[in-house]
Amino acid sequence: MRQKVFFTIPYTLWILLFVIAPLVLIFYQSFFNIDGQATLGNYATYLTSRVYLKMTLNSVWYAFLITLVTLVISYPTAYVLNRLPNKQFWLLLVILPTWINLLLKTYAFIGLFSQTGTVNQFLRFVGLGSHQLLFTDASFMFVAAYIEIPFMVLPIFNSLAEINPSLINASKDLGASQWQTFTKVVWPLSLPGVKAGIQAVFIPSLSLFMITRLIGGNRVITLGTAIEEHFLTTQNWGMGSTIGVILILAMFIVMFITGEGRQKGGHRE
Amino acid sequence: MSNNIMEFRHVSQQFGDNVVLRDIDFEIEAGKFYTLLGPSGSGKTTILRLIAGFDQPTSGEIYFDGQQINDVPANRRQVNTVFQDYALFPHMNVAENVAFGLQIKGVKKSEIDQRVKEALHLVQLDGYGQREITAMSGGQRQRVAIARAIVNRPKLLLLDEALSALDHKLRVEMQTELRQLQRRLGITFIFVTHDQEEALAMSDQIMIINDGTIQQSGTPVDIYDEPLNHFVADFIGESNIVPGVMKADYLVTIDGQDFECVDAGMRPNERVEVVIRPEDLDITTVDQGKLTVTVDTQLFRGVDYQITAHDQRNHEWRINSIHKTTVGAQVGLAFDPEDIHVMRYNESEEDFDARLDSYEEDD
Repeated sequence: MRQKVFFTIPYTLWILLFVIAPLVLIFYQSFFNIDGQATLGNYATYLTSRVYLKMTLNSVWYAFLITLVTLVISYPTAYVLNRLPNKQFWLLLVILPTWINLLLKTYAFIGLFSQTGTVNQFLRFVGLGSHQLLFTDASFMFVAAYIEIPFMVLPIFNSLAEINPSLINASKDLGASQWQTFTKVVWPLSLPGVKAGIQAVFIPSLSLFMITRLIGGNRVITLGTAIEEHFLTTQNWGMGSTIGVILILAMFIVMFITGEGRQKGGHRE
Repeated sequence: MSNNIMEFRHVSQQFGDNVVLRDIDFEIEAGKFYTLLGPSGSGKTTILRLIAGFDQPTSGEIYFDGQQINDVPANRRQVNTVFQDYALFPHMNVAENVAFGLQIKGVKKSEIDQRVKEALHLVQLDGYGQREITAMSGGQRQRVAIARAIVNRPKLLLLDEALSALDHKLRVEMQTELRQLQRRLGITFIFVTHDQEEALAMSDQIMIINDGTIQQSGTPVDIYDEPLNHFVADFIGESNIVPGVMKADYLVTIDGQDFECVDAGMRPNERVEVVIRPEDLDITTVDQGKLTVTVDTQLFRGVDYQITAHDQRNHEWRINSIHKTTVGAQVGLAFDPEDIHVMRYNESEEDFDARLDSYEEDD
């Protein structure tokens, strides 16, 4: 019994210091204005200001687009990986980029996309001339999707791998074509993985700010950018915290939407 | 010939260097209950997968209803399978599972409902339609799997070790039910199992598979009473197998002692194997017995005693007797000429059948 208590110490400390304390602090901060007076003004500002509303919609829209692009790329990837011999090895290659620091990867793309970068060199070489690639929505989406793909592939891959192969045989045996087997058996059984992937991609995408700045050139302003500005530039911690609270609420909403129906998941018996 | 629903002609299957089936030939008559019986790794499941269309044979032809179907994919075959692990769709309830095949075929909703209801009734699961699969017991899942297959009214139903996961009592119940169901529906069943009791109890015809070839096929009684070779005799039921010499027709010698038997058609003084089933041996007094043995062990099994004994030549004999004996006692073993079955070494099934026909006609 004593030993059990002992082993829970690291976890409890972690939760207290890095989950509960920050949440409480953010919530607390959000009720103070820039002069340190207690107020509900931050929430009033957020809810009435068109700028913040637009920013929120922007964040949700871009997060949605990033998630969609990532899903469209990741699902077929995970599906194909599952059918390869040595699938664990190929999966490892997909996961490998996550071992490298996010900022490093982002800088690498600056090198690739800049006016004198590799991509433009190639375009000039094939006679298409150089283009403004960096600081466009397209490059922002591209890099964001690149970074998020492993987090989408992994849960989908796992849920596909868990599907009992005899279910596929059973479906064919009952007359279903390859496509019918996919839509009626494989897809519904892989939904838990898809939902987990959406959670893993959509929620962090809501608060992206590094990529919006370095690749998107601050043309794409999201809530993540706003929080960074408030904390580091305008020093309006109260307003930054308020947006933080809004983001946390958004995460809970997403988790609620994608979390239901879990218990009916496709685990084999 | 026209009554054959399924036929294998010289079918072989190879995975890399691993030969799984060697030159398999058989015909399946419509409306009968067939069992493919063999130890694990014998190739029986491979035959099933070839019939279902999950695999294509390396060589040879497969015919269904007179049509060559080697290249017809599984979803276009009028064959349904009950899988060993049932393979029920976990994201659907019982009724949705059973309706799956009909929905794929685009059957009308009202007809689907009707047929699902009938199928569930056939497997005695009335009213279970809305249950989740996870809420069903092993035996119930088994029935759902059967319902899901028969609702499509296949011409051929394959059952892959379908009862292996059930406990003994339930298994015996399901054997009876399956047999009744097959008779009622008139669908050809091909049942795969490694359980010889199951095979004997349910089948019209048994095919014994070992090492990628069919060792013997026939009715349960034929196979039990007249096994072709050592493997079959050993695999089906319990048996005493001792070497002997065929002196003449209807006369076999075991260890220099002559016994009358009912087998014939062999060369004089040919070396053979003699099979006597343990339940055919009766324990009697030494002077009334044809063989004298010393009892080594005795186990009470409820219905009978399982006794092992040895004779003067140290051959071991297994005896199943309803009467008790005493360990260490010298007893006599009595048996009739019909209880002896003689097997030749390396006799093919055709030769065996021909030989049996030749002297059985004489009688």
